[in-house]
Amino acid sequence: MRGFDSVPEAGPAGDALGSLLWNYAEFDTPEEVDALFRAQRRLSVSHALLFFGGTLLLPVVQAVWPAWTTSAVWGGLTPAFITATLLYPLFCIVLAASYTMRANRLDEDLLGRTVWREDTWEAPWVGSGGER
Amino acid sequence: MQAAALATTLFVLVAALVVSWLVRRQTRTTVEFYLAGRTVSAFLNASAVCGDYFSAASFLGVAGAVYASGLDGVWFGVGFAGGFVPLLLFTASPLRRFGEYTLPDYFAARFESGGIRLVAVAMVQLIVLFYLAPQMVGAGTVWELLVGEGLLGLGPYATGVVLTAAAMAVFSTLGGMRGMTWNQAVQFWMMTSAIALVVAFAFAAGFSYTRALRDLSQGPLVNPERWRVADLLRPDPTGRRPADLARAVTSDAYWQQHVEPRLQDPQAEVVVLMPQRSKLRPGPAVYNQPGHLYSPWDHASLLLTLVLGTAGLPHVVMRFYTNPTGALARRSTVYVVLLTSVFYWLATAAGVAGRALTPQVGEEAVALPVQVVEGLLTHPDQVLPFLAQTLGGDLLLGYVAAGAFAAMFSTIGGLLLASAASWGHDVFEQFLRPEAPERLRVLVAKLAVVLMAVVAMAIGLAFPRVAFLRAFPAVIALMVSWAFAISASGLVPVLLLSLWWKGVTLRGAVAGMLAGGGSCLALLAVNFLRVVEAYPAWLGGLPVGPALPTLVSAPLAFGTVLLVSWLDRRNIPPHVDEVWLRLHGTARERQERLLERVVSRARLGS
Repeated sequence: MRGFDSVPEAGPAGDALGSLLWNYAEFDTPEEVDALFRAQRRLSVSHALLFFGGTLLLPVVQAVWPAWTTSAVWGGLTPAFITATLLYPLFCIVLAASYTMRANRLDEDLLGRTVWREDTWEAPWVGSGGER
Repeated sequence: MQAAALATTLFVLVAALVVSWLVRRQTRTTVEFYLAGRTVSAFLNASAVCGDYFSAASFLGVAGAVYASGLDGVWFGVGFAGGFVPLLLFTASPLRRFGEYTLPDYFAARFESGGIRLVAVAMVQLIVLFYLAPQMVGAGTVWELLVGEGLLGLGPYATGVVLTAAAMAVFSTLGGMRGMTWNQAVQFWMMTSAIALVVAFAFAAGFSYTRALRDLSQGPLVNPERWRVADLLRPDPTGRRPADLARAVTSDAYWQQHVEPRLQDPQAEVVVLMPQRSKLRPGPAVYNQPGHLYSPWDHASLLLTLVLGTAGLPHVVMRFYTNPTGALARRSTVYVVLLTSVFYWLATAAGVAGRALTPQVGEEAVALPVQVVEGLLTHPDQVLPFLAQTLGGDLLLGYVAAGAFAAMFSTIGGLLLASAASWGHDVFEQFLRPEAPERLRVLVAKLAVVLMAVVAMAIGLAFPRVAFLRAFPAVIALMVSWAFAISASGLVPVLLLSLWWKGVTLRGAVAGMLAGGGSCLALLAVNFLRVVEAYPAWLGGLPVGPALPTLVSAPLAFGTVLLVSWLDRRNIPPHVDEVWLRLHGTARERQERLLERVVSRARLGS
């Protein structure tokens, strides 16, 4: 099956730069992209469950556990106040950083094949055309 | 007139004009004009996203909400910050990789349909209008408060509205997205430094965060409220009058001087202190406890509105198209989460500091036209300028005024550009003149910006702000949250599902947008009619829902997309695999990176 490539429409420009850009092609096959998509979706959904679970848990905790909102921890700071002003933003930052590192690593691990194509340009990744 | 405020505001305007002028040559193609050539670095884009995102509702409104409501006000800012996490998890990278201009562009290509493009355009314009109206009202109100003078025969409010609309039309048409990027980034840092300075001055004046919270939470939360005398004296079913509650927490001196003389006139209005009731549990609201603004349902609905709505705001999403790659779009978002968290922590500290320090200062001590009742501001949104002048004099007030205008300029500019992209790119280029040459496309884009600026100005001038402010004291923050609710219901469910599930069909997507957007608008209208007491009697039997409808309308939209797509499962778009390669593959951006490297090396070599 043909994959996605991003190469100029016209032929080689004649100079070295044009030739390089014409012959060197990054490509992804649908199978590779599908595998990446599924891995990314798992990653996103697991982080989203954590995020939405944590976010929507807070109104519940506030409603059912009075000590969460009334017991002073430091000065007038209650666990609910500390969570809103400090812990929840930290939770978001850590979640975002963790997701980004893993997602970018997945991109690099699962995609990134290139091909040097010659004049006989006919879907070179079919069969053993591609190389990592 | 606040000379320092006027001078620093003019400085912001001139600085923005210079930036737009310097980059004016880089707006000759549509991709340059709308998307800054897709070459904006991660940190610069993060700063610009924050500038775009933080409107007057964030700069003045969050500190004001914390000032008036304590912990419940904090959640308003925290929800704004958390909104970028779902955007990061689900939309930032695939939308950037898809590589189009606007959200309607994505929907049109995903489902190969011009019809859904038009539905999405309608949704985008609706969100922009709901977002733009309070910004224009904010511009007029802030000018009125901080500058207090009209120009060219206009009143102060109208001057603020006209000047803001005109300035944004000039900056946006001149500098396009590249100018807007630099302006938004600079303006973000300006407002962050302004709020940081106010907090620093507060700490220098002896403010202690933990001690202030403890002292403010000793008794019930009390706020100034404006009441009609007839309502103030009307007993409730238990026979108790609001006047009795107010009298118990108001000093004799204030009551005898400002309230008692007017109690004979039932139509007169008085401002009294009123103990606030908790919506969470029986009894009074307390400053460091939840319950002043939200019941548990309201709280969950607010959080869902803010965390879901961000991913569909057209001016914010458009900024992610300007990153060079999907990976950098993700990194940008992490910086945004970090920067927004810091910003809202500062806004929270400013709100608490305002509550703690205002009673020490009388209104006569400041030159601003603010009203202080028994040591409390009647308009909480004024806490930041009030603190600035109290603690740092005219100079700090001028800087805060510049920050406030920076907040509005950066957001209004982003909204104008997003709206113009929707009209120019999605309507003109796709339906009216698909064969138009590039120069005409750019010209139409600039005309669309000017047109939307005129619309924004008209909204700002025609807005019934006095009636609205009576019903909704925090109208700016409230209307912005309405825009979030429409986004969270009308766009985001379809966007998330269509990015991550191949089974979404055209019918499912359109049905989801209409069900989510339509139900959200209907529920907002019902709540609005209730508040202004114009609720039709024949609707009286409906249960009262949360103040924001997202808890109902967003799940309805998700359910509709899933159900209709399943029923319509024979009509899954045949080209969905190609779309997937663009959304989730990286070949195109790898090739673009290679091209950039080769070209820059060739330039260095020559």
